[in-house]
Amino acid sequence: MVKEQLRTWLVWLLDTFKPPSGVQARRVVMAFTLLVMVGRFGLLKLTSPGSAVRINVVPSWQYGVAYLALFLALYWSRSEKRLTLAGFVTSVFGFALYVVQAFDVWPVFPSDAYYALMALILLAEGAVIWRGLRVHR
Amino acid sequence: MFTADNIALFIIAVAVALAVAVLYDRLHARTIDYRETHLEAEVKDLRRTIDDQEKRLSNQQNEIAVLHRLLGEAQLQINYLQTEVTFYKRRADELEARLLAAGNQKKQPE
Repeated sequence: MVKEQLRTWLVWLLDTFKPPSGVQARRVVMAFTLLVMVGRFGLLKLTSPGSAVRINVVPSWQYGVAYLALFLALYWSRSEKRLTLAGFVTSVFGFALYVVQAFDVWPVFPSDAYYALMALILLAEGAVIWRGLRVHR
Repeated sequence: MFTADNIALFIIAVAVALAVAVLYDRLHARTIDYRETHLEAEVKDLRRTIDDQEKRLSNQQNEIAVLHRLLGEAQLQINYLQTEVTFYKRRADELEARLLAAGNQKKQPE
């Protein structure tokens, strides 16, 4: 009885808080990547120079290039290509990039949380796509 | 970004993502089987329902054709009866007129 209740509770917890995945979640990450890329390429310095100095823990342009590549990959694999090996590789490398970014900006908690959330979405995407690839092989 | 720490973290993150993907796949293998079986059964049911509906539709079309024919026959009957009614009305009018004429002749003095 207690075991069953615990199991139900765990299933509810997982269903409620599991990271989202799918085409729409991927689009959110794509849009976020575009914004981060634009910011990292200098928009932040132009629009909010004060904040830019404070949060610029790591060199911006390198992240700009990495996010440009990730954005293009996400854009390319946004629909038909999503459930292919290319979509899977994009998710895995995107996850790694966001993890590195989250690690780099960890003193600034909100920014760190945004990057970690994007990383989680791409992690879930990787897992779901891999499962799809295995099932339809 | 390109520090040794970051590169190491990047590689670890890629490994973690691959591990999570494999783990997730293994944990859900049974669920996929169940889901596919369930979906196949559902598709079969839907196909059966469509066949039933097609048969019903065909029967109903036949019934509609029969009803159309009956309606045509009924219309013919109605037309015939209307003609009959008109004929007998005219006949009744004629007889009434003749009766009136005969009555008038009797009343007239010689």
